[in-house]
Amino acid sequence: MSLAGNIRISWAFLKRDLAIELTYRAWFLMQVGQVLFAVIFFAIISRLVGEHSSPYLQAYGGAYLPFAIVGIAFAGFMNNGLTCFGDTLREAQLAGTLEATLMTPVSLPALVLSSGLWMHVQTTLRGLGYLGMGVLLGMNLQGANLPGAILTFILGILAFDGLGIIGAAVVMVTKRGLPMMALFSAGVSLFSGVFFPVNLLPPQVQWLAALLPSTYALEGLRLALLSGAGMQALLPHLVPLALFDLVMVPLSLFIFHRATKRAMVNGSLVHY
Amino acid sequence: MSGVSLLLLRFSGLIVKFILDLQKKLGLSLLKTTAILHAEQLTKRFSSRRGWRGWLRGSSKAPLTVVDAVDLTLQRGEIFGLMGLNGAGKTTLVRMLCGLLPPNAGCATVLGFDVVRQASAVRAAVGLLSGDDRSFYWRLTARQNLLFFAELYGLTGEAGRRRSQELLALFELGPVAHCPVSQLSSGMRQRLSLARALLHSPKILFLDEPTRALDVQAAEMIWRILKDQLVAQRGMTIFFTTHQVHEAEQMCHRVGILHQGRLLAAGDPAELKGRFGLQPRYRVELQGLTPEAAQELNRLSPALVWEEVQGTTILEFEPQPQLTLDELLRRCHDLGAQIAAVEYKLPSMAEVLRQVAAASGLPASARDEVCH
Repeated sequence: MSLAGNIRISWAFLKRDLAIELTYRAWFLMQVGQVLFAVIFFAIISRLVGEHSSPYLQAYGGAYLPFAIVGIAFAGFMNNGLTCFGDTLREAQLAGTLEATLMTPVSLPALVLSSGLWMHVQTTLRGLGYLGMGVLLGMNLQGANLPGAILTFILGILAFDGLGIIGAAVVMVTKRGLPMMALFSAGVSLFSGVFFPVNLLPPQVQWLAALLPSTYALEGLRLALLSGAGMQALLPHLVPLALFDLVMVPLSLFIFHRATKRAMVNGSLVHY
Repeated sequence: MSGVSLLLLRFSGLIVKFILDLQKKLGLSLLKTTAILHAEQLTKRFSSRRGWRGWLRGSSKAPLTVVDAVDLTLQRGEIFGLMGLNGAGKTTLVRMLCGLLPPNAGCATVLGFDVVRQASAVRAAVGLLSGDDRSFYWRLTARQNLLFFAELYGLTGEAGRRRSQELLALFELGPVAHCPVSQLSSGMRQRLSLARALLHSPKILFLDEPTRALDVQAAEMIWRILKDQLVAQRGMTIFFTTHQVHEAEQMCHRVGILHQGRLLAAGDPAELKGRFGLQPRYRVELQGLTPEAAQELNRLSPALVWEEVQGTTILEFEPQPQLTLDELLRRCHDLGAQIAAVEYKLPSMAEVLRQVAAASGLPASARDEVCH
């Protein structure tokens, strides 16, 4: 299918998912509430920690609230990337809509990727909500390197989407999600600096942070947004992310292709 | 014929055989066919599940053959009904022909596309009504669902809206188009499924038990639309599966009988009946027939089928050269019986199924399964 065709398909899925979400009337209120409570919580923690009181936060402007907001905003994207493709595939299997959709000219990879788009949009809106609330509470983004932040963000998302596509492949074959995804997500949050700088971790486990793409993504985002770091300063974080993506994205697509083929041959594609 | 000519003939025959074998292996159709669907030796096997013990022991069960070497050809504008019990392999065969499930052996082309190598082209070109009425987004309305699928078929904007409206009107779903699918009855959802299968105006439609959830009126409406508009006016081909013998008999140009994955017979209903020597019969109701008179009649024609119902004797009689209906009725009258009713009965597809099952060497218990 052509690029225009794929864009058309993605747009159709986005409209479908928005229409479904709008039938859940409380959804919008719950999303707003979630952002509000999280930011207020961290604002209070930030007051407890105090501004410029910790040497670990100096590189990010000294205040804890902006540090935490960038962390929780990006953590949403991490979790989303890990789970959205597997979740939407499983939902389609359970709801019985997968076979009907496969009878259209849409390929299975396009179907799975397009189905995950709305969750990415939701997460982006929530992320912007966190940043917006942060600005209202005094977060200063005036000197931010936006192009650098966007590049870091995209490379970071690709890494977790790749892992999420592997999760979808597991769902296709085993008919259940990877139960360790929740544990993996919690581990990533702990070791990659979502809530606190990785330097605070015990030295014996700090090496774990170096293995996680989210560590580089978070560090790059914070430096770009909170310190206005230029591309030169961001390179040490962008290069490992890019290398991870170069390996993970093709690998995940290959695994997904093999899983799809296996499920089609043994007739279990639409089973759950 | 000279030796050289014989040699050339043999050699050319070998070449033709080689090409045909290569064609089968590659799944190509090198010979032009006017058939809209052509399947040769189509086979599907599924591996059997092992329990925990089998898995620990490392033992394996033989794979289960669900569709077994099916040969089938459909022409344009034909209505083909596939009959068989639950578990006969009907749905698996349909899914293979739609390009949803690759076969383990054999080949098939639908609308000129190979179902394995060009599966996505097959899926895009055919329409499928599966037996699953969950296949909609239940929180969206009937119209929203159709519009979504129309977009996936490339019918965007006004074209999609117009086509959806046309199909909603055709299947009398206009009044409920704004209702969420969760609020529609199963019959309405079945009609909506059919509407969705027709969005892209396919040339061949696969229907898996299309009237399963429908009342008599709704089923008649569906068949009227399918036969009169889609087949007669637009030349659409329909392949459907059913358990309903009368549906197959009344609606189909040809019927196929699938049992345990094998296509036992295929042909038009009249041809199948003739093939198995089934003739029209008469049902004669007699009153006041004495036992002696009954014995006399039995001597005339031992093939009479008797039944006693509340003092009325019912005979099923197949006219033969040595005994016509007129002669039988005259004899009954002479023996003092009163003729209450005479009914002309055409052989039914159920009887064909029974004969097919017997001819295929199935044991009696399996024959009963096929026929009921």
